Amino acid sequence: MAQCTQSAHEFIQSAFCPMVAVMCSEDAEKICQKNNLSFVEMVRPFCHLTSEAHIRDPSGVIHPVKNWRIRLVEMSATHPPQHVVNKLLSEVVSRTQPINTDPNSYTPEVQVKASTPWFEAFRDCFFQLHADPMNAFATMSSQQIEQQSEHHGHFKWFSSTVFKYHLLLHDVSGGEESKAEAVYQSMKSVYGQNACHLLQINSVYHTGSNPRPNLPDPWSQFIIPTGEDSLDWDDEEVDQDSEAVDDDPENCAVDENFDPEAAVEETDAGPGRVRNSSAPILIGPLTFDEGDEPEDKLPAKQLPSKLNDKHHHHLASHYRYFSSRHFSGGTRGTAPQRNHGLCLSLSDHDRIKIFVHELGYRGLLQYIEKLMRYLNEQVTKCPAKSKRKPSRSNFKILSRRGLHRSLFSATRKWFGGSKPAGLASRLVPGIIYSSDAPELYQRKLGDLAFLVQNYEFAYNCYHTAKREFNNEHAWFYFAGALEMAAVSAFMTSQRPYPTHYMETAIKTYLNACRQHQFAIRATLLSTEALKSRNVYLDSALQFMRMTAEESDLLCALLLEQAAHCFLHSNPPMIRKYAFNMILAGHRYSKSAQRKHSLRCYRQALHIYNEKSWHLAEDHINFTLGRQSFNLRLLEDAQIFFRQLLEYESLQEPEQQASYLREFLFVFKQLCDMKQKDKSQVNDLPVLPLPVIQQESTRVIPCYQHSMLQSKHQNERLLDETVGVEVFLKNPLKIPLNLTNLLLLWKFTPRDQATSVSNEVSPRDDVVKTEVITNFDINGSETKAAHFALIPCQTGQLCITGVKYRLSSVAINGPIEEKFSTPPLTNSAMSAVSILGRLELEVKGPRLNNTKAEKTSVIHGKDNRLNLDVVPAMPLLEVSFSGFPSNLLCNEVVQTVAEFTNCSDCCLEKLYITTPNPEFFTFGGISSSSETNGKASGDFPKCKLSASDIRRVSEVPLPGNRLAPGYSTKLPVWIQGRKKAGKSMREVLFYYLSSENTSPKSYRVLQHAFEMTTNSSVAVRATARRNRHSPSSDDQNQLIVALDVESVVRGDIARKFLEFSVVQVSCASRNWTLEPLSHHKTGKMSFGLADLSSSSDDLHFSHVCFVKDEIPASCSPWVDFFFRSESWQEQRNLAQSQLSAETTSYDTSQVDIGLIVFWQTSYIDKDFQKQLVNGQNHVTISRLAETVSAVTQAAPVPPPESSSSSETAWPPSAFTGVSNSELLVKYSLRHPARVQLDFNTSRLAWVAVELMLHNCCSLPVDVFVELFPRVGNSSPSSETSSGNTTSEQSIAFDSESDLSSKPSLSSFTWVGQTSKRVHLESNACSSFKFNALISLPGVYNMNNLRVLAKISELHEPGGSLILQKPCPPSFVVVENNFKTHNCQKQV
Amino acid sequence: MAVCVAVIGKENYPLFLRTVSPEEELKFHYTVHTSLDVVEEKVSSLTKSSNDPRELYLGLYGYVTNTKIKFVVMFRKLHVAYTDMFCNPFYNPGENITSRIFERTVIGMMKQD
Repeated sequence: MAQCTQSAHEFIQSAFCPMVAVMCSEDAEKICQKNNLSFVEMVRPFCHLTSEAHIRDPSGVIHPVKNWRIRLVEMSATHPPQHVVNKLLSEVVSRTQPINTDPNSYTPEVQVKASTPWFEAFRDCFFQLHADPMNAFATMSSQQIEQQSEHHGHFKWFSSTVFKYHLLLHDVSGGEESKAEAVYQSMKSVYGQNACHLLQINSVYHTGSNPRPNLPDPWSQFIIPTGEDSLDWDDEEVDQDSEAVDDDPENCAVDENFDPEAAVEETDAGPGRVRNSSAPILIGPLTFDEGDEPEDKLPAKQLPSKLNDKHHHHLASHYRYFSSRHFSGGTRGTAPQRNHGLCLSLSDHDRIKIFVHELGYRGLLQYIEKLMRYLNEQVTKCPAKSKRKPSRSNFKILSRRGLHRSLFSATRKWFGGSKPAGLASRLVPGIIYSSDAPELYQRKLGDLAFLVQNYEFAYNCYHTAKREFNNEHAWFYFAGALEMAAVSAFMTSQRPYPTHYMETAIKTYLNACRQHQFAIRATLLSTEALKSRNVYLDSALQFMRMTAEESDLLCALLLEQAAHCFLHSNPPMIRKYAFNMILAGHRYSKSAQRKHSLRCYRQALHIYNEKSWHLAEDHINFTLGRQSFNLRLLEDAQIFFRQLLEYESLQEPEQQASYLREFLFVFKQLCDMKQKDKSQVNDLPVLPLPVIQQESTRVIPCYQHSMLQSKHQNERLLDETVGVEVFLKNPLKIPLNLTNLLLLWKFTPRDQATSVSNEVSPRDDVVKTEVITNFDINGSETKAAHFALIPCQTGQLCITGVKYRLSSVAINGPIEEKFSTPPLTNSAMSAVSILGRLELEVKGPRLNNTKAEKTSVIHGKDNRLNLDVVPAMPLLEVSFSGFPSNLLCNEVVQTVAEFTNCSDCCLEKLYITTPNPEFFTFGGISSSSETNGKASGDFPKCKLSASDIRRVSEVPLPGNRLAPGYSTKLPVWIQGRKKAGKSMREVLFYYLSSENTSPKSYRVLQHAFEMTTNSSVAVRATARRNRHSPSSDDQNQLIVALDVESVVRGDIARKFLEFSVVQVSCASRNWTLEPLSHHKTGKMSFGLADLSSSSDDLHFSHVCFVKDEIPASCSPWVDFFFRSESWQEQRNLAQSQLSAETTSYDTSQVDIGLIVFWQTSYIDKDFQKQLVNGQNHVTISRLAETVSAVTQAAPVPPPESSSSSETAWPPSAFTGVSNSELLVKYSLRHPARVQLDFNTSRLAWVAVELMLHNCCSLPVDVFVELFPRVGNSSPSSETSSGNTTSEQSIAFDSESDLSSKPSLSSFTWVGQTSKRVHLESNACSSFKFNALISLPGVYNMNNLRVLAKISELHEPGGSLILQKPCPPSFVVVENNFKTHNCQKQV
Repeated sequence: MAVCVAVIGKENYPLFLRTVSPEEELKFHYTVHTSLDVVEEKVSSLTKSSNDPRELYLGLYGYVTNTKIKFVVMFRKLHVAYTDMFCNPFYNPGENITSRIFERTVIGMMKQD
């Protein structure tokens, strides 16, 4: 049970107080109406007597009476029938709403302290309407009200000796006081001193224009039922109710009876008034218009007299009409001001107070005292009388008497009216006593004692009465006595509360008497008592026992109180509280108390919420949603429905679909309503579905490959697409259909403070926004949506959210088929779709620096959706037409690249860079060297420096710029990789804007190719010295052998049947290429002639096998050559030579780069022959000569190729290198055949010419030594010298030993046999020697040795080194005469 | 035998709930949730009064009819099933119970007449 404003004692006292029936003459009523009040209303505020009085109980003990209340009731205020009562109760409950409607107050913690004013209101109303029979006994006085000289008959009510009190009203403003006084005096003489009073009122002449706000208004709290705030709410709500439920006649009726608007205006009139929400009831029963209709239906016998009643009825209805008009429409249209009691001055108030005091203490209290004494006498006189008498006969006698007396008494009405329409007497088993029955004396005595607060005495009386009634099986009276005994026991506060009394009373009411109303009343009293004794669980059980009632409203109220009891019990049973709240909510909703129902469910939700009891939670949320919707609380409704959708619910897909439909429907209504109000049209609602995975959100660099590089990552260019990727998750099991998705942004133009947004209208002039027309997400799916924006102005672009339309269209499709829901229900809902938004709120990384950040979760700022739109940059697009993806190794293909500037800016400084520069060329780079080469004639040259290939190269755009919108086509040559296989080729274009003011930003365009290469031909080349120079004697020649091998395999081999070498080009600084021979075997030999002028220039020489010579020294062929590894090798060598030139020279090294152009063909699908060209590069860096091994091991073998380190080494180190055997090339020249007639001449003379050629670029000292005697049978000397070991001199000696054998058939050198010469670099020199041959035969003339060293000037201290011998040179000496013999000899 | 078997977690959230008839599941959700008040009361009184922590029976398994006939239910089977389920290394304590064996045991208990 919730907290009440009244304590239990106060509550019981106010529930049981003396009721005084008022009968008022027409004139008196008129006087009162000057104040816009009826007489009863006028007096009511003063009915609470604050002073203390004393009463003597029958035994003579003085007993105090404090805080006495008297309830004045119109005598004509009849008891309304049951259905009206129900309506009234329902009205009271529905009007009393919690003042605090903050949802936070629904938590159980708050609810512990909460009060339930509606329950108290209900209770109060209940007690007033169901005036109990015991209490009716207390209504024992009627008053005759006189005005002037008019007299009316007075009515005796309660018993034969009804106390009558007569009041004379005197209108000060209108009447003569002396006349009133005279009448009063005569009244006193007639009725007695204590039963008359003269009340002077209306001492203020009220003009109607001058309200006195300073005057206290004691009526306010009786007239205004509740506080202003809740009334305001009520007003709306009632209106809404009547709108919403037009066919509910009850609501309409209630609405007519009570006009809250007037009440509000009443409230406004007096700002200083006390608003007591716990005393709201007065207006209810008094303004009840329908009250007089049922009065007619009452049995005639219950009415005291026809005449009087008619008059009374007339009066009452007149009054009611008046008062109802007053309360409902009286103040409408006028300025809100207090319009009652205006004619009453403060002294008038005091006079009324005095009157009530007089009435109460002087009149009523004394009468009660007397009556008690009389009753006590009666009881003590014959205590056993009622016991002895048989109850049946007693009943007959008494009832006859009762009937007789009821002719002039209205008591019966009060007595019987409390029972529903007289049916009670038929249903109640047991005895009905007449009102004057002596059996009731004890009970009446108790009642009187109870009324005057003598609870101990009352308890004793009730206790005695209880026993008597029990003996006589008068169950109804028994129960009443029990109930009152329990209550008075409670009120004594000395006795323990007899719970079993109350239990028995309730059971008796329920089972024996079928008097549910009384059972309820007993329950209400009992629970209040139990509550004040802190026995909450029992209280809850008592409440719950009564919930079997058929009245939903009552059940709801009781269940709610039971719930509160559980909450108050120790320990608090919050779950039972919640459950009972749900039950109460259910009953409330059944009794059309929607607001209360809503509140109950909301209170319960606080218990169930987020405790994983999803099924229950869903049910509550769904009910709340429905209820809120019915109350037109659309905002709340959508929140509750939203709850159903936001987590991954376990509901069936069908159920989810219906949740979604309901949500959309409610949401749509809400939006429509808002739109009607035009209040929040600018604000798109946030939808619960789908869910954005915030962290995955990112801005995609761009749809194109072009990227903007700048310091700020978030810079984006004007007029260029910005892509945004958003991941949307559908937590439900049903597919979602989103339409018209687009990004929401906020844009702040540069130099402006105000920002623009596209939330309401698409602002394509600022930022073009791409719209995704349809986006479906399946159940439990996460899907990425890609959005595009094109900013059209510079400034700050902030992407804030996603706008879309969520519709239930897709739900109906598959779900309908699956679950075969009736199409009719869906068709109404199917079109529902809602335009809403989702917020994009990206969080940065979690911060972890400061202590505060470590202890709590703080995320950094994330600017990934805040973009800076900067002025436009050129945008380059590059396309290749027919880019080959399949190539042969080293194949060269020409394609066309098209460069297009798509932007409005001029583009310049276009560079291309790649990690593999060897695979393509734009040509034109070496165009200058090409022209040079042509000009210089046969041997085109180019500088070594020109061939420097870097990874970054400029694209030869015409004019080095590309105007906006223009495109340029450039040829590109692509060469296949050297090795077979797949490879990635990546290029990056870099360019600048020629207009952009900020030089920091540039753009790049990336491109990647995948290329597959298949092996084609392999080329190998060797070079050696030509020792048999055919023609020109002094030419230093090399012979190059070129091996070309086809290595195609598999399908490629079938496609390309034959490869042919079309041209061989040579790039060298020193050598030119000459054709020598051409073998079909794939081996080719070329002669290389030494260019005398050694320089930095590179010479190209070509040997072409076809008609058209390829200008290999020109782009693009030379580009590939320069980009090849071969060239790298050659160049490194050349550079090392250049740097090492001054100190040493490696004679075995040559710088020959060969370019082999080959061609092959295949037949394509159209049977066309397609030519395929390619070029291979091969470098010859060392002669293929056999040399002796190194004689002296150098301390550390110096790396020959490294030019930098060579200079650091002493020259002596160089001499040990084997190539020192190749300093000088020599050859012998002599006639091949000598014919001599040995008969005539004994000796043949052969002149031998020794050709010496310095192959070195340094001067050389040469020592030539001829061996003295060599036999003609020593051709092996060549081989032996070839086999010379490191011990050169020894080998030579041994050979010479061999050859020095005396032989007749030998030849002898004659003349000078040794010679020392100095040869300049590359110089030639020849010496002539003579040999004498004594016999015919074949002689090897190579019987000499040549030693050489680099001249002292350049390399001092060097020793002579035997040079590599030339091949044997034979001379045939024939005997001219005896040729035959000679041959035989040989 | 039983119409509803529920396993409730430490923080009073449902780990497992099966009813004989699925239509009444909501009702049993409410009932079970509400009965937790009683359980809580018993548990708190147990911990306060008894020193023996092994006395785990809450006294809910007994039922006395108005003719003083006593019904006693032992929960050994359910407890064994729960223990077996809990021994599953892939089960995180506090998660909803999805074990099929456990479910089968519970349904078997409910269907026994």
